Amino acid sequence: MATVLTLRRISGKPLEQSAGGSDGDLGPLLERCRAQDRAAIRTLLTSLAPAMLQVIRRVLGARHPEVEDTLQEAMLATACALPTFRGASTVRHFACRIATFVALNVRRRVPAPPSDPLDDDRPGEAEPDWALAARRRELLRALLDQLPVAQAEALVLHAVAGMTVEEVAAASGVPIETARSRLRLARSALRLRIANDPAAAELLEELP
Amino acid sequence: MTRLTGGCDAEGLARVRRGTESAEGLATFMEHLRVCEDCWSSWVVWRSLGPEGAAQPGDEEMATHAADRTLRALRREAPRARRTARAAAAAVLLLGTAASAAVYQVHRWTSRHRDTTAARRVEIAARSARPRGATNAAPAAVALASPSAPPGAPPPILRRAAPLRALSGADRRAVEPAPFAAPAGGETAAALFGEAAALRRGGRSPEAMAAFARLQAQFSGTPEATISLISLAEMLADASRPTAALELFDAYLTAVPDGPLYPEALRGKARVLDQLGRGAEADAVRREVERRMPRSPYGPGR
Repeated sequence: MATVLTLRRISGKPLEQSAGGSDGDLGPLLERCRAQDRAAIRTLLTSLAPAMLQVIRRVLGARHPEVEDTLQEAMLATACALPTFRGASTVRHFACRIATFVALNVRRRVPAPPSDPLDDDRPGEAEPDWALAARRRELLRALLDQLPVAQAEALVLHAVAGMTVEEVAAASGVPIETARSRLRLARSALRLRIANDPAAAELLEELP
Repeated sequence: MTRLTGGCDAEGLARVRRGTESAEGLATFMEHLRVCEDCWSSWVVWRSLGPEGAAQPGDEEMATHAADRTLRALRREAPRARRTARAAAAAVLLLGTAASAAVYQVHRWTSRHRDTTAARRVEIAARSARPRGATNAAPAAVALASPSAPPGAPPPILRRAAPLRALSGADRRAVEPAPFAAPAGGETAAALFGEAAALRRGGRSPEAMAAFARLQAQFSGTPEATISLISLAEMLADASRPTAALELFDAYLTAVPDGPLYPEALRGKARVLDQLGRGAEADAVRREVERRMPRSPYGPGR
């Protein structure tokens, strides 16, 4: 029980506040999970859920109808992948990487819901900040959809989940230079998109 | 605004996100954003998408519900995985057994029919090489003796195949079956060829040569008889009877000029020419092999 409580304290934090930390007392729990202890798996998944939900919502959008199903899909993938987890990264980063991958694929598989009517431009009125923010989000998510999955994953893990390049590499199971290269390509694609779209450039440059 | 592009390894964003950056470091990072495209790109993504990750009421229930559904799915997956593993193991076992059986059968078949298969290839080649208008004529290389020939008369092969006529008495005795025997009931050219080949493999050369000669006598014109000319010639060469061997190699080359054993025939001919002290002719034959079949096992450098 003490392990579970410790785990909840660690995992319940927002991802960015605990992203660089260790997994604390997760070792024994992981061993029990690998031994197919169902209670331990449930505890681990429930504890990892806040961090996974954060990433999923940022990739899909908070109001995307597939958020809960995506969370479950990511949990199932995490549980199935636990036997192969060798501790190269923290288990939270491991789970976040899986959640990112699943969410990116859900975005490509399930069409995004139509935008809120309130987000539409209303001629003659200054666009409110929340509408500008919605347009920025759609712009960036459209970019993520167009990137190769590996590059999009690296960008999300670094910029959205707040991992360092070394952590991205460890979570993705690739060399650091590979992670750095993917990140550089993703950023280049973003810059190219902005350079070719003055409206997008204006939208993003006005970011408060 | 102009920013520098590419290659920034600063991890300022991660430090700011984790709250580990000092106030001074934060100000430096914000200045850095004004000049660094890389960090600015990541910052834009974070500032745009980050706020959507905020926790919402009901998240805990959603997480519990999702975890429970995951466990139920795992329970369904486990037996399926076990069944799949068992089926895979059974398939591997079956495939292994089948592969072993197949290898064994192929080995048996190969050892039993290797020569027969070659003979069939010779038959095809011989048919294609048969001159127009000679459809009813037997190939030049056929039998050494004939059941219909009167006592003392030369066998048909010696009448038709001029080179064989040159066999000396001793050589002819070496290859002729002493008492002529009609084909036994059910005996086939393939069976006789197999028997002779087996005798040869067993090192029983006299019996093998007699069997090959009987094959040519009883089944003249068959591919087995034609191909046995090479076998017989090689055995004569091994027995230091180069003249007889040369005649049989030539008989094969005459009967099937482009047969599948053409390289073997030329190689054997060169060998017996060497035995006969006709080195220049042997070299000419070897050059012919190299020219016509540079990639054969008897080609240059092999």
